[in-house]
Amino acid sequence: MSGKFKRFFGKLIFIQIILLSFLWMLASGMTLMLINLVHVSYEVNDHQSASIAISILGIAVFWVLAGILTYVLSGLYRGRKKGV
Amino acid sequence: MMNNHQIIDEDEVLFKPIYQTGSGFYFLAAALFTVLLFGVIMYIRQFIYGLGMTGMNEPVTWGFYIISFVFFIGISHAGTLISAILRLSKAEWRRPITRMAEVITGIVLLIGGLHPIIDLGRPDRILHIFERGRLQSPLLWDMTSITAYFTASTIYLYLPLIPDIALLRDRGGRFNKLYQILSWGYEGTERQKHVLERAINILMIMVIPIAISVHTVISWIFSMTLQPGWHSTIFGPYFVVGAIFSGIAALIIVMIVFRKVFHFEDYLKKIHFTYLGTLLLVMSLLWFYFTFAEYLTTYYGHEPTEMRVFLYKFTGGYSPFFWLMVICNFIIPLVFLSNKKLKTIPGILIASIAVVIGMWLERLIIVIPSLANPRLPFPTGIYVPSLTEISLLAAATAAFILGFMGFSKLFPLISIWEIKEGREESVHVVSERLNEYLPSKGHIRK
Repeated sequence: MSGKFKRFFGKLIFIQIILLSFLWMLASGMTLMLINLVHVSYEVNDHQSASIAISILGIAVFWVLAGILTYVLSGLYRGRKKGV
Repeated sequence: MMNNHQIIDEDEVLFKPIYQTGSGFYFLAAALFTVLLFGVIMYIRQFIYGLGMTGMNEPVTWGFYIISFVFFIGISHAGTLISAILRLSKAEWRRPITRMAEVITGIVLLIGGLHPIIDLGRPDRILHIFERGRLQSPLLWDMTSITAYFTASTIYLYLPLIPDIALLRDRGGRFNKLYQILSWGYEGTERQKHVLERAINILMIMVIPIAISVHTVISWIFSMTLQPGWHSTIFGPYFVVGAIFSGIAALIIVMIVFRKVFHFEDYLKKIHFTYLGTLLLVMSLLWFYFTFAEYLTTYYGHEPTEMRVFLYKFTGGYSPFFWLMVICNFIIPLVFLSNKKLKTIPGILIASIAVVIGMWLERLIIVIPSLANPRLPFPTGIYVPSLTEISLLAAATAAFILGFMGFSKLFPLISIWEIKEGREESVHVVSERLNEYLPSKGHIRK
């Protein structure tokens, strides 16, 4: 690999990781928001009913989605032809 | 890297929309952009002067925006859900359809998701949800499920797109840097194919419950209240059926338009429309069954406040819309789709357009009459949409078409790798499957 290509490839990976990190940020953001809202509902003595279960399910969905995309993108990276 | 002019692909016609742009494209884009711009200007006016710019008032505090929200989110079921079901059931005829279906989902979810924010007089207050939102509000569940569905749909659109992005990257030409980033080093090695296939398989199972939950939760916005006409236990499945119904219709329209414009006749054949037409007919019958069950129960109960809404729809101010909805959602599809002579591509198109109009009217019929006839002894409310609301509906439609046009300039509208895979493997896979289905002494068995 030439130095120029190496630099370009490094830049490419950097951009791709930034894109992927957006999804992790979304999953983390949703988790924090839902935990905060559970906390708020306890604070004001609100009746949570099924909301807790829905929130837990929501959190799980976002983490699984982020996990799937990470699995694919790391799998694609590792599955490239040798020497490229 | 090869120049695109040097490559002659058997599926060259699928690359054409990306590399060739006619003057008609620019004229249409300019016209749609004007509509969109006008809508934005009208929204800015509404933002400055408040919701007084709309036709909404007490007691009808939800109008076109919420109708469009429910309608567009419903259309989104065209994509991921239909695509996932077809993939899961290994329907080979799905191959040229799935991409368009998935794109519809992505675009309409963005448009639909914006509508509750447009509906707010003070959109900045949406931020309060994150800090002090009420966890047990169906509106909050809705926000969570729509965000989850949008994320899942975008990933579900993106993953099967990767091999095609890699094809575009290898052809060179414009946007190559973008294709290099988005293709994530895909070279079609066995390991890469395996990883991608595994992830698509997981996602296609995962998106089905997510998609169903989205429209069920939207129905709960209505049915969790004690408003007459809304407080119904069948609203969840009724909304899901309606969503899939309108989604299939929208998908058929998009397919017919692109088939004509980009000459995809070799890929989108009569058989695809016949199958989707049959599916549309089944959904039409199912929709009628749910509508009948919903209104019969109300009529039989004869509860006074419920009956006010019932009569408002059947014989009152909203009766023209109600009966037009029945004609569009049931009569027209039944006539065109159950008659072999009428079940042609133009016939299926007419039925699909009727369904899209009918399903928008259904959302109108659900939202307005219940608010116009509140439980408290107020006079019946009147709702007439203002120019602001009409222009924003037009802008949303323009945004949908522009979104699709934009996508067609960047990515193939039909999944090229799936078509190639289908050519190479489908016949073998299907014949093997047939061998498994049929009795062992059948003549098909080798």
